[in-house]
Amino acid sequence: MDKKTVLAVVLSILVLLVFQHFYYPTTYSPMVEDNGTIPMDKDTNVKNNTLNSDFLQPELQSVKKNTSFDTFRIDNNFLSILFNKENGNIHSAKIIKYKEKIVSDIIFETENNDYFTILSQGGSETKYDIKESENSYIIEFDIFHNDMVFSKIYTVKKNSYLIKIDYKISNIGDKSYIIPLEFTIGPGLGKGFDTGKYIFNGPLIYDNKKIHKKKPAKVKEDIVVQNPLWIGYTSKYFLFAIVGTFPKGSITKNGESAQVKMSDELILNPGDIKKSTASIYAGPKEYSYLKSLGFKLEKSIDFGIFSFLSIPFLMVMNYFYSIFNNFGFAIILLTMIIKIVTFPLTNTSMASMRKMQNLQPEMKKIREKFKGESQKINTAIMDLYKKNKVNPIGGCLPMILQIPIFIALYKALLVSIELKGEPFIGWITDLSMKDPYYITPILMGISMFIQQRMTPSTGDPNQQKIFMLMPVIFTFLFINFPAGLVIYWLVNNVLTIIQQYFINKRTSARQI
Amino acid sequence: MKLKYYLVKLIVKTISLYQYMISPYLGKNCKYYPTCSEYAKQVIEKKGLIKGIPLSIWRIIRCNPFSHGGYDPIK
Repeated sequence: MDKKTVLAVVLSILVLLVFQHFYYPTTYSPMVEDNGTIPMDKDTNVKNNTLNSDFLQPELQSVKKNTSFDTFRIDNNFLSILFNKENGNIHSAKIIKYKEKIVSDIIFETENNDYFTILSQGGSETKYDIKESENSYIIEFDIFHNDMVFSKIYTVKKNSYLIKIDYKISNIGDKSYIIPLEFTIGPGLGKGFDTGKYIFNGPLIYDNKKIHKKKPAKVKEDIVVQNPLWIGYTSKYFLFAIVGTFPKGSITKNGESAQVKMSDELILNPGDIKKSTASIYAGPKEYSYLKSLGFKLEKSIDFGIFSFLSIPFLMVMNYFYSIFNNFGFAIILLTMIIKIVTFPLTNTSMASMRKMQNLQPEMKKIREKFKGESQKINTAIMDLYKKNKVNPIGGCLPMILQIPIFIALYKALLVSIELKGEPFIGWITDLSMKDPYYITPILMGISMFIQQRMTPSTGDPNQQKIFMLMPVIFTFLFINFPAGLVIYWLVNNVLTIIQQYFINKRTSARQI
Repeated sequence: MKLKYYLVKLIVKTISLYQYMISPYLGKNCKYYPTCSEYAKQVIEKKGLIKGIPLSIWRIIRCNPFSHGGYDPIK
């Protein structure tokens, strides 16, 4: 191998390593901490309409040494929420179900504090009351503090990830007050979340224009956003968010992490009552579901710069999923559609590639004839092109336009919770995880190898060697990727091979 | 000045790497001579980044199914 080859190999390995470093999906193993349980008042436990067997068992929760929270638990069909008895905050929210599938140990919580807090002033006395109706639980807190009564009414619907809060502040004294009101989430996410290095995990604010976000560890100065529509804390697949009408939203440093807040200042004259409503969402980031809620929470899904393509791709896959009930087939069908739509572009370029190859000997002759006179070589080659009408019809622009398509589909498959826990066939039981036996990445490498054999090659032997390495590099690149993505790439290659086969057949037939 | 020089060098090397490793895999799509990547290399080396990059992008835009292509050297 000459210098150039060595350089190419070294660089490609470097690319591979860098790529792995950023894109390798780290799997999170849920930690179970052994210290303590949260003291629970059994009388206040509200029974779920589908009684869980573990309902009365103490919850395995991490409680730091010197802190204990006086909480009670409300379970609906999707969530298990711990409310703080003393202040009416949400101590933690556990997701127990997604799409009829039981998910384990995904808990929004924070150390030494409540995860979601409504802060006005501290209460000196708190009363609470729980009512159950056919469709929901209504939890009412009344917090008394000197001349103020702060009431929070949570409505937890039995079949929803959405919790409504109606809150009311009344001034029962004879003085005017300025009350700072603050809704806070965090710091941190909690336990059991998929945290990849590449996927953003952290606080977000959406102000109806754009998402403001920052990695929790990198927050130094406050990020202030005027008139936020919602604030939240997100992982790859799950979101905890508050939708409300507040003049100010902010992301602030808190220890090693960060909190996200919505805040306001209320002026209460004697006898004044201020009322408002907000909603809490603790649930999966499923695009169509979030969109149907109408709060624009779907903006929390980061499809990247080509979201205008990713979202339709996802919609098409969802449509096929609704028919075939298998996401693997949905991916394959979408790949086929994309291939058909882009066929006119790739077809012409591949056919002309073949013809160009047939012209290779003549090109070589020209090069030898005008050795050293590049100007003459150029014009001669262009003449040769014109004579044989090989000027590729596609051009470079259509080629480049395919890059957004690939990135958009890649993103759609990478961030969508729809793939989570969805099996394909046989050994692939979860399309969002890597292929456990590495069969698909290896098949993909083989398909790439076949594809290369079929495409016309240039004469340079060093380049040939590098070419042989490409399928190997790609196999390793894809080895830990979500199986859904690898299947897309594999199917795409197989379709290209079929296309190439027919083109080769056609062009060689014409030659004879 | 030095930084600019290295930046040009880096971009040109990256294009060369693309030409060597990726381009053959994509096939010959370019309608022009020199090809878009070769053109980009030369134009960036000759005219610098500020003029060279927009010219390269413009060249790629021109290299579409509706253009005629042909001999298009750096002026």
